[in-house]
Amino acid sequence: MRKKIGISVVLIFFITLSVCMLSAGTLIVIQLFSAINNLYEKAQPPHFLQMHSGDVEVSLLENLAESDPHVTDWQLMEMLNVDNTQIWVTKPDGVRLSFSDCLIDLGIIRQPEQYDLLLDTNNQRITPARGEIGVPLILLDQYHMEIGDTLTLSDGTFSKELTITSLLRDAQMNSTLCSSTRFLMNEEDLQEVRAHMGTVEYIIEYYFDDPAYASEFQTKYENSGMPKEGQAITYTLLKLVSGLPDLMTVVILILMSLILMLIAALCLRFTILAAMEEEIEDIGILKAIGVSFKEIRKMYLNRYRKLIVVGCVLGCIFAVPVNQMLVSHITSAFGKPSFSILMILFPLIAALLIYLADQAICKRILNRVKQVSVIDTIKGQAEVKAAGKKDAVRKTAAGSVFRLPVDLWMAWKQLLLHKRSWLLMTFVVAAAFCMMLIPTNVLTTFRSPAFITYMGQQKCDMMISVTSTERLAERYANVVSELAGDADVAETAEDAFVVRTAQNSEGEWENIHITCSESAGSGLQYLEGTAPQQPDEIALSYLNAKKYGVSANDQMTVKKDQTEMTLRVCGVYQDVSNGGYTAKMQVGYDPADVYRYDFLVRFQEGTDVPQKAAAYAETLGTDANVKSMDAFVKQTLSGLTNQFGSVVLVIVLIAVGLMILITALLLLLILIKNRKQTAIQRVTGFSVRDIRKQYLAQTLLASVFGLLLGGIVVLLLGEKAVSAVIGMMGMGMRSLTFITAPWLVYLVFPLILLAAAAATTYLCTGKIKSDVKLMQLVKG
Amino acid sequence: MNDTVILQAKSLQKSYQLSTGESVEILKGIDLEIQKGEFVAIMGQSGSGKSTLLYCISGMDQVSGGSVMYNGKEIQTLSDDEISQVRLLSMGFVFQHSYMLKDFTIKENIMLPALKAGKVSKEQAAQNARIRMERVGISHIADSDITQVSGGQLQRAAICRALINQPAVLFADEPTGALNSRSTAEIMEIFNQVNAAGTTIIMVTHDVKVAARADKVIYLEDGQLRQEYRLGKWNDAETLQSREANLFAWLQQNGF
Repeated sequence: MRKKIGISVVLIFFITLSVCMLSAGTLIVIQLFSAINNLYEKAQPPHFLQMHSGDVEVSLLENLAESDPHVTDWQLMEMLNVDNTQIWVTKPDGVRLSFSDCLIDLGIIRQPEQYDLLLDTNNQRITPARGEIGVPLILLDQYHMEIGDTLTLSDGTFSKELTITSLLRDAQMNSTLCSSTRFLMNEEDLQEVRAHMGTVEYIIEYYFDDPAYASEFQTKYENSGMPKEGQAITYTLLKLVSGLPDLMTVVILILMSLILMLIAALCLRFTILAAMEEEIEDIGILKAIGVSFKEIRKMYLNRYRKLIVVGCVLGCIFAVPVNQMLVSHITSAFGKPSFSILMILFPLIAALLIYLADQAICKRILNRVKQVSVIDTIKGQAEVKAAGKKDAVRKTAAGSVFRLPVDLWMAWKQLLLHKRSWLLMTFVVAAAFCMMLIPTNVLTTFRSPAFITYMGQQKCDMMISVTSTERLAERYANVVSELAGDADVAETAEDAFVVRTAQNSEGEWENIHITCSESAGSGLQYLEGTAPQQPDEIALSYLNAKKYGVSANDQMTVKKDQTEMTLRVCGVYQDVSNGGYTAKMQVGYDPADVYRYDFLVRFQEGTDVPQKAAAYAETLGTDANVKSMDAFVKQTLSGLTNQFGSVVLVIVLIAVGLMILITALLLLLILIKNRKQTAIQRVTGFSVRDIRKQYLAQTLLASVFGLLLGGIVVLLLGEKAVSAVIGMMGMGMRSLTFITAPWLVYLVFPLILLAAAAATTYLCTGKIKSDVKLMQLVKG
Repeated sequence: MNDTVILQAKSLQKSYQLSTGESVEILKGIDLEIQKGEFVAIMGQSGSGKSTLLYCISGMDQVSGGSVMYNGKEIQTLSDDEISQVRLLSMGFVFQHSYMLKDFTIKENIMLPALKAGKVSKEQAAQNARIRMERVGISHIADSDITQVSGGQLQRAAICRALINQPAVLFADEPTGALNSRSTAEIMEIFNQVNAAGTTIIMVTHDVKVAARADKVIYLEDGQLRQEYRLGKWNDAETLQSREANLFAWLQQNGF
């Protein structure tokens, strides 16, 4: 009786687990999209945005808006850029947080009236009073600011202290993947600060009847002599960049839910089989007294139906707290998702699907009862499982008797004979290992310095960018002379950025930004083809290749003014930088065409790169943007990796926890099943320690197979699965090659899982000791 | 406890707690002494406590009071490893139903205690198992599955397993209870041979025919040792019928 209750509890547990996972997984996807949409609806980020440092002729902007029927509205905002060294936060206890190591540009704005609003954590538009300031949420990961802290702006002569009164959600610059972030101040305070420090940058924003028009508009804008000294970005990219960290989390959660469901389904099947084996004697008796197979099946189906219903209901109930746990980041980044009927419907559908699947499993297993003979069941020799190739296994195992110590030999033989039970453990370990490996590999890839090659950049130590419409030549010369005079510089490559037009897949001419240099495009991750080597070759980023409808070896016509050039697309590479729309050519250029130069600098071995970067930043001042590449990648992706890092940690813990739980449940079922056999061993002189050794050997062997299986699956399918989901999301990447941390993946994780399996087995087999009533066990 | 005594129970008590919380006393203070090489049959009505006595003195069950000394050591104080070692090396068990490990062949089941003891090589253990199987006439089923053989064959295999490490004592609980008369006679013949070779046997039975093969019969009633009857060593000169008749007369005489 106790056995039956135990098995029923395990059965309910697994059904609960699968319903819970599927429900929570589907819920989180709905909630993420709902939360992002809510934020965008409220904040109204621009459909097209152009940053510009320099003067702006408002009438030009207005004329363009009026002449274009697709433009519904436009606005011009001023952003006061403050040097990162001139801003810091003082905590109430006097601790000072400096932003000097922050690679994102810091800007201050006043709250706009209608569009591109900065919202508080309740998604409400706020207007700070005098002396108050709102700080962007995305900086909180790196700088632990809190409401009530004091923020100081000071250039040495002028100083202004403000109190942090709100944390800001910025739909437009909601990710560290953006190059700048915005603080919010009162109009009067802003004017006061502006009079003393900072440089003004304009944010030119346009709104259309259809956000998809942005790309076409961008070409029109750039070609009509509009102010464009700064980055331009479209709505689609904005949404992508903001949502990227969460999308990655959702990708992983979906993959994890699928793995968990697979585990739950396998466990369920095993548990029902175990339950049926316990029932087999009763079934034999029922058959013996003349109850038909159909009636027996109905009886058991009814019983299992009740258990399945209980599991489904519990699963739905538990999905709520699990979901709340997972949704917390989404809520903090985007605000509360609004309620939708789908949020009730999806978990219910998930529960229904699992109910139907479980019923099907039950029916299939119960059909096997048909073949069970009455005599065998009563003699206790029947097994529900189909008779396998026991003899072959026996012979294989018999051969090993003279090679292995007796306990190991017994374990090996039992493992082979009961491989169905142990296979489940193998699968669970494999699944747990996959759960640990896939997200960890994605994380280590994002954290790796080599990830820069996914950002459309060659590897280098430091990058100096100069951009200006008027003083570019002068600034360029400055940088060149600085670099030439530095003995620590080992190698410098120059990338020049020019704009051309090319026909997109719909036949419209659109601007294409091309990086030209002697080494442009080398050292990147190519999806197809190679880097350009001839002047008539062009390499395109993945998103550009899609936009222009070309792939490697296709021809492409590029126009400069009215001169057409036919180029061969030599390769397609991955790029998540500059919105993912880039191109590379190894060709000479007319300096008059160039709107930006990037200097990729490699230093001599042993040079302190961050210190060098700081020195260059100081020397070149506002003329150039200097980045230490390691720090740049780290900070750019910090939003992603920090959030993702905590998700990975939770997933790893869940994987280990689940493995322990399922191993424990599985072992308890096996121990219950083997009670009599264990007692017989003890009577013949095997101690509890010997029997423990046997179970330990079996769990460890099954786990090792699981690790091998999991490792192979990740090697063969891991990158493909992640790439497939990433590709679907329209990021600048189509495939991801894992950059792994070998010691973690091949040593620490397997050891953790093996140790967990061993500890669980040790604890579970402790139960044998309490079964001292050998006599009763032997007698059954 | 002198050197000739292999097992000694003093004031042995055993009680069980029922689910109602009530305690039921099965053994009510039994004193018992078994000499080395003796063949003792424990008889009694159903529920008299004879199986419980066997399991208590063999260390398979915990006692509620009193003590059991085996070869001068108190069994109750031994650790799991120690008692397992004692079971492995100097005790053998045979039950009414021959409990075998279902994942192993007949030969493997027999060999296991020898392999575990590790006193002989693996090849020698296999050879010993073969010799024992031949002796009891089951060598042809050595590689069979335990589900493929008869009850009598299985019981012989169980005896082979119990004896593979040449134990000092063989404990048997109704070893012929599930067998027909022919198999019973064959099994008991083996018991007498084993005992003649020096192994002490303590056997629970309700069958007079089987008990008549023992040197001594002790009779249990209501958890207490009532009487004992010495039949003397089994020898071929004496017929089973006469021993059986004598024992039967004694049982009747005492109203058992």
